[in-house]
Amino acid sequence: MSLMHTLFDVLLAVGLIGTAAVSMFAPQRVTSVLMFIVFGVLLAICWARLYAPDVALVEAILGAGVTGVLLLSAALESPRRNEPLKTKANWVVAVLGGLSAAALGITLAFAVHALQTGPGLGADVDQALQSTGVSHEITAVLLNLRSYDTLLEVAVLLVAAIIAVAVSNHRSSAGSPVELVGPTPRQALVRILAPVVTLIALWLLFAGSSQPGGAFHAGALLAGLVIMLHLGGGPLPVLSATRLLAAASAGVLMFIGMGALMLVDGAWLQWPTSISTEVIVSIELLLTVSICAALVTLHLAGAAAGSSSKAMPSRDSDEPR
Amino acid sequence: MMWWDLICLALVLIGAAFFGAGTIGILRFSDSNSRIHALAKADNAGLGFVLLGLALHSGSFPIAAKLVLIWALALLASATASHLLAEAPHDSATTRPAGGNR
Repeated sequence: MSLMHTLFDVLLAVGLIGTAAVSMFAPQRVTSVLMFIVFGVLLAICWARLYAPDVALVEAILGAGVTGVLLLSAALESPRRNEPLKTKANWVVAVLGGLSAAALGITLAFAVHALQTGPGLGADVDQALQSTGVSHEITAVLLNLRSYDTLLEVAVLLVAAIIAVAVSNHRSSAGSPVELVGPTPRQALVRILAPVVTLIALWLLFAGSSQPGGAFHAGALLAGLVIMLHLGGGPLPVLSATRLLAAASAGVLMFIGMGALMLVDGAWLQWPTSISTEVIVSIELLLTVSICAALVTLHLAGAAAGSSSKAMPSRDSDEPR
Repeated sequence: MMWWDLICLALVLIGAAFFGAGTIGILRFSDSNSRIHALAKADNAGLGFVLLGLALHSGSFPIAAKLVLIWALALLASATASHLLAEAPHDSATTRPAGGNR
């Protein structure tokens, strides 16, 4: 059996390098992005093989899914890559790049070798798990033991969404008005998938306290659903930039507020064991909304920037012909 | 339980054969409609047989039900994707002569 596993892992690694190479060197940007999505799916399987289901889920949803959509809409703007400069300096670049990559690879190999001799922090986390209010180690680290890191991560996402709105002209998403004769296949798909995805996202959110899952997974999945609703062609007037940014800020502000509230009797971002479960679940709930709103903002801002910079010929098959 | 494992293995292999045939079809068929047909066949029948084999092998109803749900969702996505591809304006540059490129 272990031979089969080794064979599978080798195939997976070859596939990763292959899709990465195609993604780098394909002449068409769309090909690059599609290969990047395949790369993300393979990477998610890698994480699953490394017994890291949390990372695998995030990689599949965020890395392959949401990032794929963002990159795809950017790639459709200018489908062809710029011609590479044909000069002799390319050889120098190739040799220098190869040497640097080899040096980096050897250093990383040594680093990985050194890592395996250390015990890691697993035992410390297990010891502290009792007082965190949740039974899943990853959630305990993300929202209790190292909650400051998580707060900053979400804040970065919020700042990215604000900047995206600032540099684009997305104010409201009227969507492309669709004449509803009957649902097109795309709309039918979205209608069936919407409740299913919502259910899975909520399950991931609440499973996060005891199993792999949590706010990032659920928020990204919901964002994927909203992006799908938008691409499905239905008008989404509710998604104005103001409302999206308000929703994106809510979780971060609530996180900061909760952290500050703990200053009354304790320390910044230190949840008392007696109420830590409630605190973590409520933060995760609002963070899900925030992460979803921030990712949707990035998509809509990109779409608005694209539609204004160049009037793309609509390749929409939903139009009556 | 040996024969049961063999049945499951056979189902998975039938699924893999569909995927193989579908892949060859995508590479060799001449026009995009035929290629969509090959792709959808691999997606629907191939995945169906693989998941049926895995569901029977799991011996657990919840796992089997989840695998069936995955198949149902994949069918939906595959049908929609095929429809969108078929409706999309055809680019003559992507149409290869029959027999594929050698």
